[in-house]
Amino acid sequence: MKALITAAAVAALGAGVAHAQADFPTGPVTLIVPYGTGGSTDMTARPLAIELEEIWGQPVVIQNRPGAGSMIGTTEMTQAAPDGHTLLINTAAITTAPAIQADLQFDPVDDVTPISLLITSPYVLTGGSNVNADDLAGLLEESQERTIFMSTAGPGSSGHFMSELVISASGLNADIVHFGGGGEAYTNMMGGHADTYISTTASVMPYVNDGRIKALAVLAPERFELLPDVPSSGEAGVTGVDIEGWVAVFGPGGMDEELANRINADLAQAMASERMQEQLEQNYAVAGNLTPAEFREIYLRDMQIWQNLADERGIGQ
Amino acid sequence: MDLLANFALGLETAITPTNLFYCFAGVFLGTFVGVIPGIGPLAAISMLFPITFYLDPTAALIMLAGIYYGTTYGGSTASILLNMPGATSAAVTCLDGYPMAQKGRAGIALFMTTIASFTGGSIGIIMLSLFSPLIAEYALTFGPAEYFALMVLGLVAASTITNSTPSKGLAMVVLGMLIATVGIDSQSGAARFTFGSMSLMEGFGISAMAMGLFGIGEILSSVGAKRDGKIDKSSARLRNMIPSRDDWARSWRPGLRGSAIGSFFGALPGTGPSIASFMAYAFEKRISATPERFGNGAIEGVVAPESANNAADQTAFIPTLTLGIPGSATMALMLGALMVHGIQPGPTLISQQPSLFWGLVMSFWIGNLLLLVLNLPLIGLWVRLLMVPYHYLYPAILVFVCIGAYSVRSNPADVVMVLGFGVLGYVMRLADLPAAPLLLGFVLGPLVESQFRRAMVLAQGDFTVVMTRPIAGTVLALTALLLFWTLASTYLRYRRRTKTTLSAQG
Amino acid sequence: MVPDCKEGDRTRGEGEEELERNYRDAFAGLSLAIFGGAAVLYALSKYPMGTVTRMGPGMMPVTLGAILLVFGIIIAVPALFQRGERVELRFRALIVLSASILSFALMIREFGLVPSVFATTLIATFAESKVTLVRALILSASTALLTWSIFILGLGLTLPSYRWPF
Repeated sequence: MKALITAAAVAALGAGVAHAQADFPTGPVTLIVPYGTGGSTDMTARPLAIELEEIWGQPVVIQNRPGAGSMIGTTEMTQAAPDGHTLLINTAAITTAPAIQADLQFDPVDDVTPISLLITSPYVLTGGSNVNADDLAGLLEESQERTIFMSTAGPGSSGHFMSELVISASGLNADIVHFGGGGEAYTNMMGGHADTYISTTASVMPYVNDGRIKALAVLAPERFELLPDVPSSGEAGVTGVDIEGWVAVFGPGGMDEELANRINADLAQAMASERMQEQLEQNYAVAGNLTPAEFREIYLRDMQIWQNLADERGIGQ
Repeated sequence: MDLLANFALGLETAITPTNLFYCFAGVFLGTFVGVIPGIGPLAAISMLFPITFYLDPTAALIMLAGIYYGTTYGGSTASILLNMPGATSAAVTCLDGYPMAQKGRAGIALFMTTIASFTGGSIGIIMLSLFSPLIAEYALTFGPAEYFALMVLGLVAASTITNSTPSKGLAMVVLGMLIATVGIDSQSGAARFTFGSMSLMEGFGISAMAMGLFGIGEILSSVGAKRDGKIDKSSARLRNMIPSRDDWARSWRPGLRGSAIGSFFGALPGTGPSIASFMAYAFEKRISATPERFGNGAIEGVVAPESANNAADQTAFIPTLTLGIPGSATMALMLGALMVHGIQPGPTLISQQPSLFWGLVMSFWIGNLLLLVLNLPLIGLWVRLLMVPYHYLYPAILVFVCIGAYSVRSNPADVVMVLGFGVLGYVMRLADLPAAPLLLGFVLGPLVESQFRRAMVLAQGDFTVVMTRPIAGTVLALTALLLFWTLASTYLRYRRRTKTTLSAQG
Repeated sequence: MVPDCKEGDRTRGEGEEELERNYRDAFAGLSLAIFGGAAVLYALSKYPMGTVTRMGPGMMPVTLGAILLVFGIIIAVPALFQRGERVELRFRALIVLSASILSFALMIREFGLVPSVFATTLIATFAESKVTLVRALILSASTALLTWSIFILGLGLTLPSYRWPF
């Protein structure tokens, strides 16, 4: 039944398709999602695939390859030919993994071609029902009297790295508590068992809007344009925590520069579509708009920051 | 009354032809997927998930939910007929369901599980529709200390689940917990016992373990062996499928208790139908006047877990819908189906999307009714499955298990893991070691460890803080009492038996 | 006396010859003890223990391994003084069925669903001598057709139904 509906949808789309020019793609494109079906990355990948099918006039097949903190799917991508027909969509986890996983089966510098930064959004520090403070400055004060418990979605998660970064940059008196995923962290914050959680806007804002948890700070020097009411960490005098969360597309290492640019442009076109713009709005996020070369610099820089932080705070040892 | 108006609104939504169709499609698919060994609800829903991009959110959710609770209805079928759980939450149903089938009572077992499933489902729906916000609020008061206490209670209950000697039962619980430590440590991030394999980093899957231990283990020990005499053909006759007055009398109380236990564990994020069914079984066995009947085809041992896992299926929607927090991987997919359409579940969902919430609740009623109507006539068909010669059946079952294991993560290593657990299950049968406590230790072990370590961080290393929390303290005290009672009654029974043997000899 | 464990019932009724010692339980206990001991040694050498209130990754495996070691001994020692029954290990089923499942794991990525299912079913039939080759081929073909229609046609599993990698 599902196959029928998909077929009908593809046929309907096919009717209005502007056909692809040049020599790419010459066949179906596989987009590897290194997370499970229905996760946030998967939910970005699926509508994106629909848009890309329209642009390329070729099927774009989503393959979910979850496991090992996204490294199973990522490894599989690096082993494909760099002809653009196998792509990967991943989050900043691709930059934190090398810092904590000793036995990666690929070289994160040479075996990965960063192609396009699709979506960026700042990290937000949120507080649960046990927190009296309303912003980061207040939290720093509160931590003079008691230890703040910073919850994470697990050791090595981006929220863990960000929490360590905040402790290191602000001198917050805090202990890290690892939970089994973001959901558990949120319930424990709502129930007053843990105090803070750091994640991207897309993840935290629904609960903040519910009034169950509060946004203490956007981790950036300035306030975020889409959340003008949330104070920035810069306002609390805390600097050096302004790393952004993102979702990006990668190809296997050694991809031709022209091809990478071509795919980058097609992805930008897909992101400009109504469907993707709507998604961005829902997630309080903005499109990346960088060239592959510019994105590569961010990719390498973030990886270095995490490696340094892991060494400094003893993460993953 | 407000509630009546809500029910009316829900009914209006649920009985539109489209929604009715998707409800039927969901429960129909769910039942069949549940019957197939190896394909659990997670695999089935993952496969059908992309459909939600093309459907209206209420219809999508109604269908996915139908698959979810439909699988649990069907999951017990293979447990009873083939000693092979169709879904992990039906593993415990094997313990008494399969012996019932061997005694020619397969039809009755299937009949009672259908009734038990309906009862459990109905009670779960009542909880969901009347007390959702209240229960969600209560669930939030459970922190790491409370979960730790509950899981310890579960472990103590686990050791009494089979009729093996206590040392064998306990050893298997410990072995299960030890196997569960494989993978990334939830607190330090260290990779334990992975030997450099990426496929092991997330540890072994619960479904791989259940399918291997029970399913493949069963096939390995049956194939090539002389099989017990043919299944009595008369068990396929209608008359032999209707439970007797005695069956009903034994069943209704366990059914209600199972539903209560199931409703409780379903609503707690992080536990769920599997733990609920184990707990319900352990509880019935503990309070039974004739615990020795358990494991030998006691109807209570089928009714209690089946009503519990179906109740848990329904109440699992409480944290998902009212807090926006999924308690399991399957629930995360349900949440995804809503988010595709820009609907964020949370405390305001019921007031902001009343037709979706109440439509869904009413569709649960309709779905459960449909399942009842669908499953009762199917019993005759399933029992006839036993007439198919086993040498034609087992290769097909093997294939379904392989596909089921592979489809969850598209990782061939998962198929190899199922084989590994199958060999372990076979060796354990030969060595007379029970599989059920191992599975329960595997489920509870990681929760005990990680919740304890979390609780210790939050208590700054002071264990008395855990003991003095009201809920955690009470549960731990209850556990101690239960442990004492178990030891005392084992000792007393041992003394009584030695006395009777002595007097018999003398 | 150990009450019957129902899970092994299909194999019961064979070779119920009495043995002088309960080798079955002795073997079971000994294996568990060795497994537990190995886990203790491996975890001790690799993972930090921490303290009881601040447990490291090694604490749980070491504790569990040690308990398993003790239970293994509790099971094994009395067994040496009990009578036991003979246990029959059937290697044919074990080897053939393992090969059948492994063939699925090895083929599914490379060859797709239909050839893998066909091979898995066909190999599985050799575990017993009850099915003739012709019937085995028919069974394999119809299982392949059945799974193809359920998973690819019905559930839309993203899996090639047929591939030829060479």
